[in-house]
Amino acid sequence: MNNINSINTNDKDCTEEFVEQIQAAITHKHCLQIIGGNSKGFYGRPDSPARCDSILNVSSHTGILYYEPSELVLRARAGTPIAEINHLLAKNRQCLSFNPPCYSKHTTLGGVVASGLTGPNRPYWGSVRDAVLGLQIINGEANVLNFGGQVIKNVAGYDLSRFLVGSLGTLGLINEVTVKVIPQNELTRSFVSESANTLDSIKCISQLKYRSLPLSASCIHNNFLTIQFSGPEKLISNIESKLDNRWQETDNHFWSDLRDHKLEFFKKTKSLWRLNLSATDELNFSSLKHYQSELIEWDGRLRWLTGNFDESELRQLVNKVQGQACSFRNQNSVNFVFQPLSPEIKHLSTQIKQTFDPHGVFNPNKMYSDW
Amino acid sequence: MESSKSKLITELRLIVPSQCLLFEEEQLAPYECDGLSAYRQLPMLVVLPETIEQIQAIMKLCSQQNVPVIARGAGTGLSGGALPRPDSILLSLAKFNKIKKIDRINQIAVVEPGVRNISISEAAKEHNLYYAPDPSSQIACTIGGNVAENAGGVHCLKYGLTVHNISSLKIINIEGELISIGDSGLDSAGYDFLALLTGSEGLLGIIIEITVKLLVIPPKATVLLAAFNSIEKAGAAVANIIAAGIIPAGLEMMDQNAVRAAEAFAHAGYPTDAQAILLCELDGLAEEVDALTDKSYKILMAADAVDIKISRNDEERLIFWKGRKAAFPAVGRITPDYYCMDGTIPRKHLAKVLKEISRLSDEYGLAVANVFHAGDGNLHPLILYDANKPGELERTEEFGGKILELCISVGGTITGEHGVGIEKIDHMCIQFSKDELEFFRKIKQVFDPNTLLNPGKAIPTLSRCAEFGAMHVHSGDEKFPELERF
Ligand SMILES: Cc1cc2nc3c(=O)[nH]c(=O)nc-3n(C[C@H](O)[C@H](O)[C@H](O)COP(=O)(O)OP(=O)(O)OC[C@H]3O[C@@H](n4cnc5c(N)ncnc54)[C@H](O)[C@@H]3O)c2cc1C
Repeated sequence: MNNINSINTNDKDCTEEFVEQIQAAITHKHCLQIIGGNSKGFYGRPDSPARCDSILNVSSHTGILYYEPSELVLRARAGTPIAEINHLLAKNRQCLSFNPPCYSKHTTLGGVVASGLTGPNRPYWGSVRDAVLGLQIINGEANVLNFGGQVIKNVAGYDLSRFLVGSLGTLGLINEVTVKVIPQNELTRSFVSESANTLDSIKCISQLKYRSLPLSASCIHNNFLTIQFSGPEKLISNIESKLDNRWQETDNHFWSDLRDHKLEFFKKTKSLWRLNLSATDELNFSSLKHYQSELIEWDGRLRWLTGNFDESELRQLVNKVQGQACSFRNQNSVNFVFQPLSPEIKHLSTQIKQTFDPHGVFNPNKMYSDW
Repeated sequence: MESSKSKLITELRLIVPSQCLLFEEEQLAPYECDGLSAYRQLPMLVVLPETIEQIQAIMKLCSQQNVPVIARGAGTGLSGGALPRPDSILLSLAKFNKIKKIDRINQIAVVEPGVRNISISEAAKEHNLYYAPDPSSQIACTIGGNVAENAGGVHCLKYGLTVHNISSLKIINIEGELISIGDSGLDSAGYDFLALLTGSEGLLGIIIEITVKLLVIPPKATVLLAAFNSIEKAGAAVANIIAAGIIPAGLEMMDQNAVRAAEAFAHAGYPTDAQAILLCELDGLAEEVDALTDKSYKILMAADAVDIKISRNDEERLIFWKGRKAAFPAVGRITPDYYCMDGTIPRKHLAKVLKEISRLSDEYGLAVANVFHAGDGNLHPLILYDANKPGELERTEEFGGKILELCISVGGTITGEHGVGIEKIDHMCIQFSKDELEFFRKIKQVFDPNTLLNPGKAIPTLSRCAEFGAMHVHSGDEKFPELERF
C-alpha cells in the first residue's frame, strides 16, 4: 500500500548522470567530492575538499522506492532527506532505529549511511550499520553494484553493505539504501537527577539496566544524569513507580536537541572531540590541559569533549582503554582527525580503497592522509 | 603428494606437540565432513593448535608452502564450509575454549573461538547476563563458527544476528599476522572490518578472539503456542503481529510434517492435527510481557487460530521451545536423510512460496517438512530423502536448487544464516552479477592473495558460474513468472 503513496512526483533517478560523471572523472584523472545535504561538511579531514576537482551532488537523487510496513523494510535513493523518511515512517507508527543526527534539515539518507553517525539510542536500538540491509553503490570504476538485499537475514557474499557504512564516501558513491525499520514505541518519557560524578552516573545507569527497566538513552552532563524510557504505554505511563524520588520528569525534546547538537554545550564554537571508549575506565579528562567541558552519551561509551587539547596527550589517554578520539568540529590543526590505525589495518584499508576506487576518484584523504 | 605431506608433518612437529597433529586415516575420519554430510573428504592432516603463536607459525608455514588452510569449529555448519580438501590442513580451534573475561558494566565477554555458544550464556548467568544469538545447534556450535557464518537463531528477530552482538575481534591472517579489529567503544575508527569479517566463512582470516555483547536476562518471558488449520492463516498472523508494532523475541512457524516429527521426538504438547503452529515469545518486565501477551493473543484469535496455549511458567515455556529446537534431529528420525535449505524471503510471499515448494515436492516425489524463523522470513524446508537410493541425492539437490531460485525470484536470498559454503556456491551465480562476484574475489585477494584460506567455498569463480550455466535472475529472465515481485 505504501509503495504507492510514497512515490513523490519530485523523485528523480540520477544514477546515469552519476555514472557519466564518474567515468569523466576517471578519464580526466579528476577527483570528486561527494556531497549529500552537506549537513556534515565539517566532518572528516578539512583538507579533503580542496583536493577535489569537482562536486558530485547526490541531493537531487531522491525517492522512497519501497516501503512495506509489515516487512519492516524501506528502500530509498541516497539523496532522500531523512525528514521525508521520518515523516512517512511516522504515519505508519514506525521509525528509524538509529535515530540519526540531523545537523540541518537537508540531512540525506546517503549522508547518514556514509558518515555512520547514530543518535542517542545507539546502545539500545543499534547503529546505522546495524540497520542497513543492502546498498547499491557506484564504485570508482563507475560500476553499479548491489550488496546485501531487502530481507532481514542474508549471509550470501561478503557483507559489503555494512562494511561501507561510515566509509565517508571514500570507497564509492552510495546510490540506494535498504534499511530495517522498527515500530515506534507507544510512549517515551524522560527523567533527570543530580549525580555526584561520572562514575556514579555510569553505575546508576548500569543498575537500572540490571533491573531490566525499559531504558532507551542516557546523558551525563554537568553533574546531571538524564535518562529516557520507551515502551508500551501501560508500562511507561507508570514508570515513576519504579524510580526513587530524586528523579524529576523532563521534556523529551532534550533528546532531539542532544542528537542534533542544539544543546548549549554544542553551540559554543570551540574544538569538539568525539570519543568512543568503554564505560568502566576511570580516565579523568578534566586533568587534561585546556579542558573545558564534557558531555557523555551511550551509557558512558560516547564522550564529547570541548577544549583545545594537545592531540597526542588526548590520544595517549584514550589509547590506555583501547578507545578512539575523533576531532569532530573545528579541527585545530590536528594531525589526525580520526584515531590513527594500526599498521595492519592501515595496510588493509589502503588495499581496500585501491579495490573500490583504483583511480582515486572519491573524497581523497577524507579519513586519513594516506588515501 | 606423500612426500610433501611428510615434509609438512616434520615441519609442523616443530610447531605443535605431537598430540596436536593428526595424520593417520582413522584419526582424520571424524573431520571428513561437517553438518552437510552428503559431502565428505579427508584432509591431508588435522592440526589442533593450543596457542596463538602456534597458529601464527602454522599460517606462516602454510603460506610459504602454498598449503590451503580450512578452519573448523564444531563442524555443525550446514553448508559444507568446513569440508576439507585432500591437499589442505584442517585447523581445528577446539582447544581455544576459554572465556577470558566478563565485564559487568560494559556487558561484554571476551572469549576464545572454540567456546561453545551455550557456554557463554551459562558463564554469564551468575551475573544475570546472557548472549542473545541462539542457533538451534547452540549446545555444540562454537562462537568462532558463529562469527564465521554470522549465525542467527530463534531470538534474532528482536536481538539481531551475530554481527549485531559482537564488538571486536582478533584474527590471524594467512601470513600469520595478528590483527585487532574494533576497539573498546561502540563505533571504531576507519572502515568496518568487523562487519566484513563476520560471515566471511573462514575465507579472510582465522578468528582467534571475540568480544561479545551480553544482555540482562529478561525477568519474564512467555510463549504463545498457536495452532492453525492452514499455513496461509499462520502466515497472515505473523504479518499482523509485526504490523501491530510488536517485535516478539522469537516468532517461529512449523508445518504439519515438522510438528508431527517434533512432537514424536520431544513431546512438547504440539497439536499434531494442525496444519501449522506458531510459537511467539514475548520478553521483558512482567507488565510489558503481560500487556504484549494479551495483545498477541487477540491478534492470533482474530487470525483464526484454532487453539492457543500460553506458557504459565518457565518450565512450560522451555517445553514449548524444546520441540522447535529439536526439529532437525526429530526430522532426522523419520527419514534416512534430510537436506536443510535456508532461503529468506519477504514474509508477504510466504504462502505463495510454500505452495510452490509443495508443488515441487509432488513433482520430485520427495516429502518436505517446513520449519521457519517466520518473523524474519527465513525458511528451513527440510527435504526428506534416502541417500542409499540411487539418484535420490541428485534429485534432492536439484529440488533444493529450485527452492533457492524461488527465494531469489521473490526478492529474497539463498541463505539467511547457514552460509554458502560449498553447498550453495553455484546459486551465488544466480543471486549476484558477474561484476559483483568479481568484486568479492578482489576483496578476498586483499586478505589472501594466493587463495589459501578455505579455497573453493562461498564465492564462485566466474568459470564455475559458466559451467553451472546459471544466469543472474535479477535481470528479467524470471524463473517463476506467476509470482508477484517487486
Ligand atoms: C541441528 C542444527 C541446527 C542448526 N541451527 C542453526 C540455527 O538456528 N541458526 C544458524 O545460524 N545455524 C544453525 N546451524 C548451523 C551451524 O550450527 C552454524 O552455522 C554454526 O555457526 C557453525 O558453528 P561451528 O562451530 O560448528 O562451525 P563449523 O561448522 O566448524 O565451521 C563453519 C564455517 O566457519 C569457519 N570457521 C569456523 N571457525 C572459524 C574460526 N575460528 N575462524 C575462521 N573461520 C572459522 C569454517 O571454516 C566454516 O566455513 C545448525 C546446525 C545444526 C546441525
